[in-house]
Amino acid sequence: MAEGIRDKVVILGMGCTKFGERWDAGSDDLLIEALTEALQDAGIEKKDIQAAWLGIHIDEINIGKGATYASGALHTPFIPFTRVDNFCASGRRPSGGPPTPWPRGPAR
Amino acid sequence: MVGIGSFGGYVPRYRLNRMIIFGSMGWLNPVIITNARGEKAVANFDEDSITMAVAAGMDCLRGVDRQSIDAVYFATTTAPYRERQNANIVAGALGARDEIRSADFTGSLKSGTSALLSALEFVGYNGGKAVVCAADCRLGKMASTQEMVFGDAGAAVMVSDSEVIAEYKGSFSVSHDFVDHLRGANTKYDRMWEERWIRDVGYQQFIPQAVQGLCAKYGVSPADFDRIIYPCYYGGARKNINKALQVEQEKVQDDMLATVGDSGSAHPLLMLAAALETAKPGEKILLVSYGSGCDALWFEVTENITKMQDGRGVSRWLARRADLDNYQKYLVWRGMAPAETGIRGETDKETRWSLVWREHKAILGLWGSKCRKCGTQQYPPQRICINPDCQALDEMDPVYLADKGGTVFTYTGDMLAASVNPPAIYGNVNFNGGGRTLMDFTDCTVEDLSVGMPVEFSFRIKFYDPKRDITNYFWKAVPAVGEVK
Repeated sequence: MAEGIRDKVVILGMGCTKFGERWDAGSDDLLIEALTEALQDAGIEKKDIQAAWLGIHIDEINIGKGATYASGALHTPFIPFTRVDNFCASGRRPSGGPPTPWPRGPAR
Repeated sequence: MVGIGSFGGYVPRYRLNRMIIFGSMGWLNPVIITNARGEKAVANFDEDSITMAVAAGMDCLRGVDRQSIDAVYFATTTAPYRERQNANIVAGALGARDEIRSADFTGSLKSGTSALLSALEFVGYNGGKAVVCAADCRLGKMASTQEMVFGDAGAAVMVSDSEVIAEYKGSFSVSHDFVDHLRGANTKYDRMWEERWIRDVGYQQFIPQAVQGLCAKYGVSPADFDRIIYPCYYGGARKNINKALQVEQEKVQDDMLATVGDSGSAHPLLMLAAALETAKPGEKILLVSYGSGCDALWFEVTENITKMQDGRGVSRWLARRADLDNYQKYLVWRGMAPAETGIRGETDKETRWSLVWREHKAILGLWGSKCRKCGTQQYPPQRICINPDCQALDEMDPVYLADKGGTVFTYTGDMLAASVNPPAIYGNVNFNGGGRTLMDFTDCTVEDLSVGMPVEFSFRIKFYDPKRDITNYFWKAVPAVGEVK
């Protein structure tokens, strides 16, 4: 029988940028702002992260192909960093993405 | 004491022998043979008045702290923008502060010396340093005299209130609505009136008028000057002007018609840079421009000149040359004939001005960042340190990389990429002092490059958006010309 992920994963912390007409900030600044807050909330360090997902709306009018834009700006450790494009739902998919590989430990 | 603190020049690498023009176009207008001596400098496909002004400015500002610059003036009649201050692009590339005076000088071929006079007055009034960068990239129609005569080049002069190499002694100007050459606001090519009239009424009257005006004003005589610099591409008129001024031929600076051509607004300053390369302390220099009138400026060379005779100027660029042995390539590079660059060449490239503004230091001045915690230099500027053992957040100081040079790490030639100078050559460049980035290579062939070879950075047109008439600039890597002596 298929096994669910209930009681096996938690959301350890989250961060969110300030809202507004952010002329001062590019996507790299927003990523840094959100991740910094999430790490503080979770009480972990960047080196503890084992996998990462980036959700963008559509690449043509966004920050470009691949997830290297995010890994480059955040200087994440040498971990898988995956981009998801799914319009307005892109943000949910990355957060829903982890459970599949996560309990099995993708970075091992 | 106010005067010239430094000087610089720039001549693009590619030279078109005028017999190639005659060979291609003489069938239409055989009389152009009369101007078919020597060669003219032609800007590369990724060069324009802004990029050549920057190149001359970089030459002029070797060893000068960019934070010490208080004003940047740009002179040209071929500015890429009518609205958007061209001088600010030049100032940004030179690494100047934001809190400076900037202005574009245009509308006549004497705009270079007019900018220089304004810089002298600025420094005389405020003290400090002001930089004048001039360049022109004028076009004559196929088979025209202008096509034969005009050349592309840039020149720069830094005005300073201390350690001057040539003291400013005075000036005299004449301004006339005298139309020998003309380009309306919507016109691409120069149009000129009858040449005899330009020689007899223009050059031969106005240049002596300006010189004699200066001499009368200060109680000196043309014969008192050791070097006399004025642009005039008519050999006969030059002889007549020298005779009218009663100056010896050897005191008159070579006009570089045979090697560069007439570089418009930049030309008097280019000739001045060439003169300063070999000037001796105590020499009196008379600099005269020509175009809708004349500016005449008197300088006296000081003991400091020897410190600046270190390879900067014009000779180094004249020696760095390659034949442009193809008239059609010249037409395509200068936008005089349409060329097919394939479907890839039609790709729409938008410019996001909010992004350009946020990143303008990194784009214009190639500013990187240096970590205060661990000292690692990095490009593009980072907020999180790239050093895996550091990773400090927001601990960066800006660092100007445009004059640091680097080395080739990887390179390739790409025949599929859309380019009017195929193959497109690009690769990774390591900055001296740290950092690595992907860049285009220019002024070279793939065969000229090798891994590890030293490169310099040159401000170039990165791409032109024809739909919106936007010229975008970035730095490219060029094989190092050779160290300054």
